[in-house]
Amino acid sequence: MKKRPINLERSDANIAEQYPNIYEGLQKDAAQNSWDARATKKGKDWKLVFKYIHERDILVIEDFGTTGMDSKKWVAYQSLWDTSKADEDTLGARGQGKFLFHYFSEDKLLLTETIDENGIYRFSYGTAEEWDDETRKLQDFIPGASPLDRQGTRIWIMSVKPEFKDELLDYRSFMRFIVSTWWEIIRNYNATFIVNFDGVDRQVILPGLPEVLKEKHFENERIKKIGKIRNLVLRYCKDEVPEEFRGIAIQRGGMVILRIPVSAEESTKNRIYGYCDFDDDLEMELKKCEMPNHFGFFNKKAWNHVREHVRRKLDDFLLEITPKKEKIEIAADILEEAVKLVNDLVSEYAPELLVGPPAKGGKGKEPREPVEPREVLPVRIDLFRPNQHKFEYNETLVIDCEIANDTGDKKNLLFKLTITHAEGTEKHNSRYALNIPAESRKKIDVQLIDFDEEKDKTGEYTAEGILINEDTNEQLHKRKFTFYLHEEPPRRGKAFVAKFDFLLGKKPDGTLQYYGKWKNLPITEKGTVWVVYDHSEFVRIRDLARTKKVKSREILLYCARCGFDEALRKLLELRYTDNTLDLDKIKEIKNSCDEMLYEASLRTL
Amino acid sequence: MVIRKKKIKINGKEIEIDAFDTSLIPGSGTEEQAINRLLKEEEIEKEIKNVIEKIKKISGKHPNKEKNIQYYYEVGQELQFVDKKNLTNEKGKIWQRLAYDIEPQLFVRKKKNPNEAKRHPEFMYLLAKVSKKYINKVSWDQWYEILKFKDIYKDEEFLEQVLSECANNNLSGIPLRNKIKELRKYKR
Repeated sequence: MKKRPINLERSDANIAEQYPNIYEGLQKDAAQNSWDARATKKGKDWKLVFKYIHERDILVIEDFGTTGMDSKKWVAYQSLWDTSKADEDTLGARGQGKFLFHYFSEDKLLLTETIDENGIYRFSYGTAEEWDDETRKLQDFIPGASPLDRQGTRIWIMSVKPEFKDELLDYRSFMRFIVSTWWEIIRNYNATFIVNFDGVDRQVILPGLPEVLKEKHFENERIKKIGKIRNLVLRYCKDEVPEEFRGIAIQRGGMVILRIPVSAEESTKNRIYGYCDFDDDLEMELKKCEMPNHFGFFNKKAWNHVREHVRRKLDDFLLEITPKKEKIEIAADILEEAVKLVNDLVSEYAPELLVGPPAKGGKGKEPREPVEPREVLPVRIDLFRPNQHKFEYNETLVIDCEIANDTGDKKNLLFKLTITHAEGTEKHNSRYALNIPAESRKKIDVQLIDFDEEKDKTGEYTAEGILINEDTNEQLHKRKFTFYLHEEPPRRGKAFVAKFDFLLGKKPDGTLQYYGKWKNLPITEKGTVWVVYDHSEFVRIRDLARTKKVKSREILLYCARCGFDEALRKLLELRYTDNTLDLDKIKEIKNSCDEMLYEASLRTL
Repeated sequence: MVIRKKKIKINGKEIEIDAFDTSLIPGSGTEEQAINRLLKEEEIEKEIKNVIEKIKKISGKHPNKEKNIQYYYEVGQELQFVDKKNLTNEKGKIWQRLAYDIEPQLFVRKKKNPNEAKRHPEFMYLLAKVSKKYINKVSWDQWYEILKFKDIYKDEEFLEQVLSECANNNLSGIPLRNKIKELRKYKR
């Protein structure tokens, strides 16, 4: 046996944990490798077959119309994290996908056969840690099996783990994963996918989508100096779109990497779908910041600009469909640090709640009296906040900015934005002329700000927005925020939630405590939120998580929700105490809390 | 890292709760570790609930538990799960959870303070480490004194010597403790 030429500190199980769904990941990685190896550019005669052989308990993945593996590809295939593909015009980049295949096998055993264009047959067997292609042959493992006899590749995943079989062999959901990921190559190139998990060959075909009521098609839109979005198509349908097609698909090389969710009320967002593909330059840049599992992108310049561009077009599209967007939905996918956002967002939306104890690392001052609510100006910068407070070079500052005009008159306004380093160097300066009708709001599409290691200093920056009445030149409102480049921000002095603690809602005899049906106890004077750990909803969320990583995320998100609920409750109490609570105020507070949740999801998407 | 009873104040009212040891501090940068500890606590609580069910069955066979050496031995065997599950460092808290928080009646008749309650499961746990052939050679009280000496069950030769002293001279309590100390000195 030969040792694989890589450092195998991370096992196949660790790799599998990176996948939000390992069954979806299996088809994605298999098809991605195979489509990369297609014999012709348009995939003539390309076919990929997933077949489960019940009597032998083997999952076979076999491709047709591909080049097979020559000696160079063969060695690369046997390696993990061989990144030589990252700069090539192919879908894969990290070479880790096949290690997911090992994870599906009870004894991690994988057999691989390939025939290259010169007709040379290669066979290997191995686990995630070691492999060999010299000493044994296919029949030693599968008596009576015929070796591959044409150009292409065939992979045998031996002894499928029993605990995976139910979900894996559900051919309907497996075919749904394929169609939602590979619809573009099925539609454009007639790519053939066959699934045979029960003795019947089933070809994956595109489902009929509902009638389109409204469509927007943007072509060749430039994204900075990086490249172009070749097509951005947004569609609003008469009826609900199948779940797996909802949102805007971000395509790379015919594969859906992710779908940007639509932030709108349920009945609207369920009827919207679309896609976005790129020219060669932008596609190459996106490939560089793509996650190794092909399920998303890292927070890098190319992706940030694309995401914001799509979001802004989508927002405009939503405005055309429904006059008012409802921003109350929270995306399911949220990063682990969502909980941190509770305090950041409370400080932005409801600073009067920051009267609790000092945050960890704070200066330990005595709690102060609640501050008076800020005066609400009739014409104001209503939103002015960054996507995050700490940036690295190569990341992008996205400013969410909205101007409100509550007066009965139309306003001609000028919004000035400056970004300055703490030492006084100006980083950015821009102006936006606005014409805002009476009693309305307008979102400003603020230019995205990138950071360049050669030009921009590390440290603290301040972004300042000034709103000016263009007719009178009067300054109407000013807001600012600070952020940090390549440097840790100092800890905030005050926090709303100091910590989350956990308790059981059930007594040892199984009966419920009086708070057993609550998600959490009311926040204490010291800022502790006690979360009921065995609350049925919390248990359900934990049980649904397939991997430890997903479970961690869900726990953090659940805690964040408890924090926002407490913020809502506290705000209602405060307003009730100062006699300003009426129906409008209740709605306003509820919306604020919904927006905090929405922001939490957006900032971490 | 074990759930335990705790009193807290909510809206000025004191309530007793079953609290997790782990806190999750937003922005501390240790959220991930805190969640791992939290999940571990959940796992330990499940183990505790499992062992309680097993102990209840043993309890059914022994209506009289007080100083019942057989009962203590059998329960002690179940308590070895702390070694098997690599929870030895947490055993003090696990004993408290078992014998003070959840099922005190399986260990002592009255709910005493946590430290007192912990002693019984600890004794059971140590007793089950002794070879079964020695169990009935001395009384419950004598074992209680003997097992106060750390790792005494590991040296069978010495243990036999102690047991024979107990039987021949009918030692218990402080005299027995002193005798063991004396024998230890000679051994060295």
